[in-house]
Amino acid sequence: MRKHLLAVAIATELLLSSTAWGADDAGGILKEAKTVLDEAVSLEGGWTSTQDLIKESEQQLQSGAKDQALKLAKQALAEAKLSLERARELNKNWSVPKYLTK
Amino acid sequence: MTRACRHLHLPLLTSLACALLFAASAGVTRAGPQEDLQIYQDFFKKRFPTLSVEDLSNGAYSFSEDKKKQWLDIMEFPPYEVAIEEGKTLFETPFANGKTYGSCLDQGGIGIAHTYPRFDKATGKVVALAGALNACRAANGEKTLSTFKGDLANIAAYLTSTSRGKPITVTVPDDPKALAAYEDGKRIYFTRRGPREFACYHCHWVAAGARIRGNELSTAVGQATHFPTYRSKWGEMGTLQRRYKGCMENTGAVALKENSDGMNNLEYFHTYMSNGIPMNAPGTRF
Amino acid sequence: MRPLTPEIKNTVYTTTLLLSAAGVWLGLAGSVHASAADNIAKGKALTLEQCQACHHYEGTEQAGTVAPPLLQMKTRFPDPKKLQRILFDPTKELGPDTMMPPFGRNKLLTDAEINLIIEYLYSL
Repeated sequence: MRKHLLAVAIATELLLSSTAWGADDAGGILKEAKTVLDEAVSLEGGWTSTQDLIKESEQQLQSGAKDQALKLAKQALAEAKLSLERARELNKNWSVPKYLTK
Repeated sequence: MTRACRHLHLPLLTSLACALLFAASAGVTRAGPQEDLQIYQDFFKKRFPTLSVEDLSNGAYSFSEDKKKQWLDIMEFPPYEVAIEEGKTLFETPFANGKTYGSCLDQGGIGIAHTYPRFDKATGKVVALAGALNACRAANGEKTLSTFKGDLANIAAYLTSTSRGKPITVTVPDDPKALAAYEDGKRIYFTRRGPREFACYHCHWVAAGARIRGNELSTAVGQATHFPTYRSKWGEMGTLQRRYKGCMENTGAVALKENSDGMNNLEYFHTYMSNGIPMNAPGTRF
Repeated sequence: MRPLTPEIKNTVYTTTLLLSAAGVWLGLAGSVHASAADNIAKGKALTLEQCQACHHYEGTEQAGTVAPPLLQMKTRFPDPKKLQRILFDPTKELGPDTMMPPFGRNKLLTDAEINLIIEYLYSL
């Protein structure tokens, strides 16, 4: 069962990445990832790992490895969204620990 | 809000209730800078009763005999001496318009480093020493430089050397903008960030003296006294904000920008908690 | 879950490092049918990456001391669900000031990796 699913996943990804649409998509997702990351950074809550993912994805895209670029772009976007969500939450809920208050 | 409480001149019980009310709401700062200072410095007096404030300014070396010995060996010929010399020359060399850095600073810049960061009433913002030097360059038509390292860090090394031994004296004047800047620095200090969600405070209070891997963690109080510092890892001088950047990136967080309001406010809050401790800069760390 | 001799532990550790180098995906896909010893080795490699900077436990060399040593874990935490919850989001279990990172919530570790770590900690 697992093997079948894996095969389907690989086939789908190959199909997608072999079309021009797949390549454009990586670029589009990267752009969105950067926008979301910028917002997290402006809230002082960006993650360096997202910067790394974006850079790696761009390098893969340049060297023509579209599937890899797409995969990394998706990871970057998901992580950027998580960091933004966390930044909003953490900025709202910061507090001084009890041992540093009277 | 806290100040609102204080200015109301309420009967004792009501003011107590007022204080409790504000203390209870998370994120709202209850204590003013002076009360904070008392709490922060008392914390380490209680936690490390055998350490003097000077010991605190020696950072992690107060927690490892072995490393302290190595450090004292290095200090026989401190690697920052060259930076002080270079910094002095740079500081005294006039700009293209004939003016000098000294023209922008109180007392011509000598013996004032221990009073930085300062709140600037004219702009309503906090300036750190390297930032003040950069502002001076800009005002005199010179291009601005890095406030992390290089010429400005070397000049800061020279200027702090003229303040060595003077107690850190950062002031938060009675100005709502100054207090807001202090509170903003405090917020940045206590807010978790990055994938591991560490805040500055996690490593340097209850965890001070313990190790992350092989590295002892220094105490929050005392840290700001020895910057700029020559770090072996850098192979040159770096300012306190350069250290903040390294600290933030070590935890996986994207660092705040150099000389930004956030960085300056953080340095303001963080240096204020070392008030009264003799300036021990420039420093050396390996 | 036989206790391993130090030599075997070393071999297992080296193998795990090689495996990790070959790709986490490979290691994880294999873990479903892997033996307990394999899981423990993988769990150990993960702890060396993620835990020893702060916690001391058997087999660490430059372990940190900012967090409690990981001793008698099975006795102290008989319910693995509690450890799962701590590793996922420690602020819920250990209090809002805890220094421990939210490994699961922030996707620093997958659920499968968290379980491998717990399996290893129980073997100590």
